[in-house]
Amino acid sequence: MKEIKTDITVIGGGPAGLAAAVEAKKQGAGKVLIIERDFELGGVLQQCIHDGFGLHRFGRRMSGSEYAQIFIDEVNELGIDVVTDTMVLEVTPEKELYACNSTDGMMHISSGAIILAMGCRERTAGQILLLGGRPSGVMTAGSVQRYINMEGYLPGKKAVILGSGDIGLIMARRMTLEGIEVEGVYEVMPNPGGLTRNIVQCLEDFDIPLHLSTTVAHVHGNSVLEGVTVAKIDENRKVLHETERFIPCDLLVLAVGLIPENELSKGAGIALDPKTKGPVVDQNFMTSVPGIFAAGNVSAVFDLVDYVSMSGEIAARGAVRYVNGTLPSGEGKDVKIAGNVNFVIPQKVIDDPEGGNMFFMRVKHPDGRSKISAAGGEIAGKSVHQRVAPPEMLACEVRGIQDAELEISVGAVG
Amino acid sequence: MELNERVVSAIKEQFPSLDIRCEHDFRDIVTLAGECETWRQLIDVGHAAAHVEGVRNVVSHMTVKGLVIPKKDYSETIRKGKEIGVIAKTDVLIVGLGITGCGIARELAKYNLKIMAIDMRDDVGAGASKANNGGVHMAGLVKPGTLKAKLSVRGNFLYDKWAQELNFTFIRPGHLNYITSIDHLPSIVKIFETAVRNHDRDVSMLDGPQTLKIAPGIKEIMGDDPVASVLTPTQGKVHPYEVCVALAENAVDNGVEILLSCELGDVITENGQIKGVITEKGIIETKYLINAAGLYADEVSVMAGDECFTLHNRKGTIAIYDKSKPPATVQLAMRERPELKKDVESKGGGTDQTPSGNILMGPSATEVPDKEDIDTTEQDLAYTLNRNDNPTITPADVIRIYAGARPADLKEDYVIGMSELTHGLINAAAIQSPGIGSAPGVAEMVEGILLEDLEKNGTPAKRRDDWNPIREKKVKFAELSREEQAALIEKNPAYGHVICRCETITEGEILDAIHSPIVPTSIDAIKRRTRAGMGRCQGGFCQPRVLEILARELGKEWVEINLKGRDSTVLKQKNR
Repeated sequence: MKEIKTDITVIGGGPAGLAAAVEAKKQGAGKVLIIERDFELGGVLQQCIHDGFGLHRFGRRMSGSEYAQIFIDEVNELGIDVVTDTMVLEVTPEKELYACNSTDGMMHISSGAIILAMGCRERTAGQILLLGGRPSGVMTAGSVQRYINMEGYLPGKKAVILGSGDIGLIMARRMTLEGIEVEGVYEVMPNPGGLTRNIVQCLEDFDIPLHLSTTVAHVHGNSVLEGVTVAKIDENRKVLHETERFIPCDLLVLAVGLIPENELSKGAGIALDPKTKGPVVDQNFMTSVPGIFAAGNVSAVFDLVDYVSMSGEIAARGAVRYVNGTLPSGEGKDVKIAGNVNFVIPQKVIDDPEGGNMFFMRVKHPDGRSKISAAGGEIAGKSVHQRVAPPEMLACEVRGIQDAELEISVGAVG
Repeated sequence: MELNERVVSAIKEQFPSLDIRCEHDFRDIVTLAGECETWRQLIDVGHAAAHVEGVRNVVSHMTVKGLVIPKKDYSETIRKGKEIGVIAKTDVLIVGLGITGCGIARELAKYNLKIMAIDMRDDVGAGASKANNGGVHMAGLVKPGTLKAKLSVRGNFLYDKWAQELNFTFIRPGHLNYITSIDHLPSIVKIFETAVRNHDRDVSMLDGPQTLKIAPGIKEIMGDDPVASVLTPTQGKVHPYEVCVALAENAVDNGVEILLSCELGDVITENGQIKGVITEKGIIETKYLINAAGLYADEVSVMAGDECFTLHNRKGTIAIYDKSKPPATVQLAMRERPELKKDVESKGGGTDQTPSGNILMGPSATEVPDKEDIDTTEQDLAYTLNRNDNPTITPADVIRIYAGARPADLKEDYVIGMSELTHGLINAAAIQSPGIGSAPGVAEMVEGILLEDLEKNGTPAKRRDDWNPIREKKVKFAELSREEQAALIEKNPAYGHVICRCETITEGEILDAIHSPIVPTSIDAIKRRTRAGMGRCQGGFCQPRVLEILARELGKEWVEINLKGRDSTVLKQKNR
């Protein structure tokens, strides 16, 4: 077994992990290692060939792979160690880690600090209890994206999309451009699940209808998809059978939500937040296990990659301070939430004036002009938003937090 | 009174509005005709007839008002087979490679006989068997005196040997049925008495404190106060598809020839003797036909000139939960819920756990007219999810739902034996729950029937000297220690390349599966052999990788790789 020692080990070479590794090195960390399970760095960004990435951070629109490449170049320039095609099998609470690949075999890695950046996975047909048959031709939007953009294959000729999350919307456009007929997008909720700009650019611009409060009630086909029955649902999500309609199709694309990947976190005994399904973190994105940090979609599902990178950098600064012994320790206090706030990360604040000060939140329900307020600190920069909705994450910087007491609220303003 | 008349009057008593006609043959097999109101009623009428004393089994020619009962058309298969002509001659042909056919193939391979086996699907165990909950049943739930009871008890006993020789995962976690109200005592006493009558020597009754000592989770997690329980230590569990593959691989290693994606179209008989079969791959001449065709076994028996039972699809829906939930202590315990046991024929399952640690709920039990119907429905799923008593798990923890078909006859017992009408036809049919657990018993019985007949005909079978009962253990990377894993990768780097991250399945294991006696050609066949894609992301990440490996190793294009069965390609065309 190969013994390796690092100052900081980053698990995952997607946007969060890349930003974290680069920032850690810039902050003076010694040996930084990125472990990536795919054959190249970049994570899911490599299959995101549409534009819109990096608007906040770089002030211009790029494709996902272009965005990733900026960080990959930095990783190379800074001499950060990378192992690809490598799977982390286990992380212990003592920050010991086991990983393996075909060239190095089994590796036992001891780290000063670990940054978890495994990202998230898609919800599946099984998880949403999709009824009917289980034929080929039913797949998640991310899989369709991978097959089309990375592998160069089309998984169908006529598609129905269930779920209006961003990947589903992006794929509605992408499939249309590739000659797949997209019959429509069906959303269980009364509101769209994706960003407004994607509804406009990916559906409206291509005349793809969006059917709200509608679901796929039955999948037809034993081994080959023959079609789906769609139906309206009532407020208790019960199918209204009189509204059922059969649509012949050979592809059902599921864009029904993302779940942070936290199997390694659970193994390490890290406390998880039932709402975000990610680790509970403090303002430095450190988890309940000292020295293990979480960044990006592993901590909560973000909407914009810019925020994912930012969270990676905050975690990296915390990790470097942890390794140097300059990070204050402490249990921390819960960040209180009020008004229209559904959840906020970080969920905890420790008494650390030099620590991170970015807070990310999602609202419970759509609302008009709203203001973010912080009791126990002051909001720097933009606090008023013209409209708020659950799919769009709100971010704010909070300065001058006293004694780790903080309450964040969002409320409508006239 | 004549048997016919007794059957008709029994049906009339329960279903006065129906006009059902009845005939019986010399074996006391009755054939019913007439129109029923619903499919469920047709099944109930069949059961009513089967319950009449002296009735050996029931054939249904009954119809349902306004319902076209789906029927398979074999004409194209017959046409193809005839066009190709004779492709093989064999002593024994096994039709159907579910757990029953695979078990028989493996046991018969001991003898100096030429044995062939066919299945209409692209893999072994890909019909009813794969959707079974994997229970190697205890003796307390099967009606004493039935063939089912005899063979499931015998099968349970033989499983250790099978597992040892064939190296599949087999555990005996036991089962604990407990009650929280003394009013429910009869339900567990019945289990206990049934087990005793079925010669289970290990079964015992426990009081409340004894129950909690064994399974403290009943109180700690379920919040229940048990007053009594029945403990059956013999209850075991397997992955049914793994057992099928292990049996079939061992059979092939010992010379059995297997043809997959080979549907049977007709049976050739001459003067009451089996002569051969017409399949889509050609005609196979055979002296014996072992009918293990699952839900289609009744049709195969008719083709062979012996209509002696009718099968119906009792569909069962199962929900699989994420492995991370919940603690294992509760898993061997299930609260008896007599309120759910209204329908004695349609036994459904409850809370269970697979040998890999996933909670499994169900199956439900619903009669459906289409043998191919394995759709999940709102109602069946509600039943299945409702079997959960554990407050720490919720429908949000479900990772997969699926349904399977139980091949039940109207007598609700196994049909095993040499046909009295067509010599050479040995039925091994109507093997429903507990068919997985019974499989070694069924195989042993069929082996006995065949040997006896060969003996009688003056051509006794001889045991082969070179029969190898052992199927080598497959590498299961995830179950090894870090040191063992390290050593394994050093020997073969393919074991260092993890393909399925939810279940930690390596490329080495997938290659092992592909380069095995029965080549898996679909994504699902790989899943059943290795567990790649069986985890919480359901192949979201590993499916393209598995597809790539399959295409590479089989020398196929990506667009040719199926998910499951014919024409079920994952990808339709190249886009650039």
